[in-house]
Amino acid sequence: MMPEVTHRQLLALSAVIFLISLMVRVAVLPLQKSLERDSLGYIELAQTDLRKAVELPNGVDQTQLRSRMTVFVYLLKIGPRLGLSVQQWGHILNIFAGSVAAMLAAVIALLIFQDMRAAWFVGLLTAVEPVSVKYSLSLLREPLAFTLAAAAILTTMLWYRKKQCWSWALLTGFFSACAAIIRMEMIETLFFFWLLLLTGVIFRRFSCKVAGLGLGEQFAGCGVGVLAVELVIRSCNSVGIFFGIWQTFRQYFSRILG
Amino acid sequence: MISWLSGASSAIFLPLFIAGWISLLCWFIDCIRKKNKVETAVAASVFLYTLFMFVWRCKLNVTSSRYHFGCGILLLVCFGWWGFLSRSTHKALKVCCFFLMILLLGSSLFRCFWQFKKNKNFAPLGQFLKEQMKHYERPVIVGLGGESTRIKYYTGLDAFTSIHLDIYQKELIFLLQESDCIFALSSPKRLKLTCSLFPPERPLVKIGYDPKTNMVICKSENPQWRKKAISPEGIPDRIETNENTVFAEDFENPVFVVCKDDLAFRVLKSRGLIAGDKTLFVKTMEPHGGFGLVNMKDARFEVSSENVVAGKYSLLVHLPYCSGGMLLKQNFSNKQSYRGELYFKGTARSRFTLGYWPKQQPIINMAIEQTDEIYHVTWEQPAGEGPSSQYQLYFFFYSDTVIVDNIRINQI
Repeated sequence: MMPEVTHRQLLALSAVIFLISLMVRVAVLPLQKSLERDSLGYIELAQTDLRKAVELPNGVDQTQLRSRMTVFVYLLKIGPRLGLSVQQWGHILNIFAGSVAAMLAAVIALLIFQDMRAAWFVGLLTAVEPVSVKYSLSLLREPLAFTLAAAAILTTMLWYRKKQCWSWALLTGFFSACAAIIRMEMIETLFFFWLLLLTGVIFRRFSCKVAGLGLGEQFAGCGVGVLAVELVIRSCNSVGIFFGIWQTFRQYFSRILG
Repeated sequence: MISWLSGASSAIFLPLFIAGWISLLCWFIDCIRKKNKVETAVAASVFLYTLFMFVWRCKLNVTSSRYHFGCGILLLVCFGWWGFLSRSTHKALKVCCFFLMILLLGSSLFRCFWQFKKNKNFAPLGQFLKEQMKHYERPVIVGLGGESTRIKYYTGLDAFTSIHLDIYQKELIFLLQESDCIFALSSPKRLKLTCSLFPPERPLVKIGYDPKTNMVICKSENPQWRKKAISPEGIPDRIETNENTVFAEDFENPVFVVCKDDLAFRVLKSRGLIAGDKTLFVKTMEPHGGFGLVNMKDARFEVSSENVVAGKYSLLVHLPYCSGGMLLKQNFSNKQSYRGELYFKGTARSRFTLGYWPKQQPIINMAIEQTDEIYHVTWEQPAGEGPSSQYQLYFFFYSDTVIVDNIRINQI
């Protein structure tokens, strides 16, 4: 990494931010008396047996039900297999994701500003920021998507700082795809990489050839990400997500294009 | 443009957002000033990225602040203005910045705990409602606005119905007939509006207030629900008509044929009745023909010879999973008074309503208390009571089995 930051310092930064973030979330959790409306929807879906469900109480039929089974719902379904309730497992998942996100934010700040103090500040702020804590304690897709987006931005920065190593570009695509599958808005993280390519070429940080290669590697990573999620879901359930992804993108772009 | 502004408004008032963006711009300008190409490229990318995210989300016209949360990571990174300011040569500025950071972290931590302390607790409300509902046979809870999902989940009450204001008027008519008591949950601010939605004959009465959820609990009882049906004495096989008889149907005439196919029931030849399901009944029922019944698994709506009330045939309405309506084609005049009667039986707890069409004002609500016991009911349609100068009558069957026979309406 940077010559002035040792690995020990980096490890200390990551560990402390992660622990503070975790402690704050665990401390605030008992104060939470009610979940968000959408969280309850996810719980209901996660508790529904897709093979047996004919109709949900709110009138959602089988076809609609299948299209609503997002990756996050499949992740929530793992909870009962581990002997936990959907709500307990959801909290564990999201608190962990929120804490990792704070840690990643600190490392991103370090990479961007090359200043340890800035990294500490950004990390601590993400750890205790009320909106961040609120969503970590909800059973929504945001914390998970947020963490994956942060990972995508981190790998983008690493690609930039580490002399355009191909593996970072591949990981950028991978994390972006995973984040976008969980929450479609996170497709925007791809754009950050493209902007960095563009500005890098404009400011002569690297050549067009390197930028083109980076772009190709990122797309390859996207493909790997989509395939990986598909395989994971298929191993859990016979319902594939390609249809779900297509539906999501179609809805997303139809909203934009009117 | 307005949609863009409304989208922007949900993010623009976030102090972190504003501060993050200003600091990012400062950082970008500083990089250009120092002619550091590597840093400038990063700063330009981050700045353009946040700008793109903001504009993109405003274009999507999302009102929920949750959709802006994705910007959080970048905005917090942008908040590395501390990094920018730390390079500043002004010592006073550095000290100010340091204290500002401490203040920001402290206030964030405080707000975390404070925010969750204010969280709504639905458990006492659920307990109160459960106690109240014990006194009724078929209560319904109505929750207005966005809180209904959470109330339903945390109270664990099956009798919950969430209603949106735009369709409330239609739904309420059925709920008023369907239940013996409606409990309405409303915020104090919207209490007046909620009360205004209920008809004067079924007013809402405030019974409590839950400070933990900031909700007013009201109820509206249905006095007609417990009205007992009269046991019949010597039911005639055929209806006797006279010059005052306006409508008569004993279902003995072979002209009345009800047909069932795979997907729908249709009244093919009817002397005076049309049948349909709840949805169609509410939305599209027109007095000029028969129409299908949807989602009618195992449903029967037919003239049947089994388990008759009187004579050889009766109208059998068996709706195990849904409700259905039936309209009398006969027009009634608002200037005249009428007296009606009918015989019915069915399975216990089956219910039906007779009312004015098209306003859907109920005249009688009937519940069958014992299976296969025959009931006789009479009603009156006084002059001036109908919804318009010319009106019709409708029957609405709510659940399970009702067998109707010998409907007669005489002019008084």
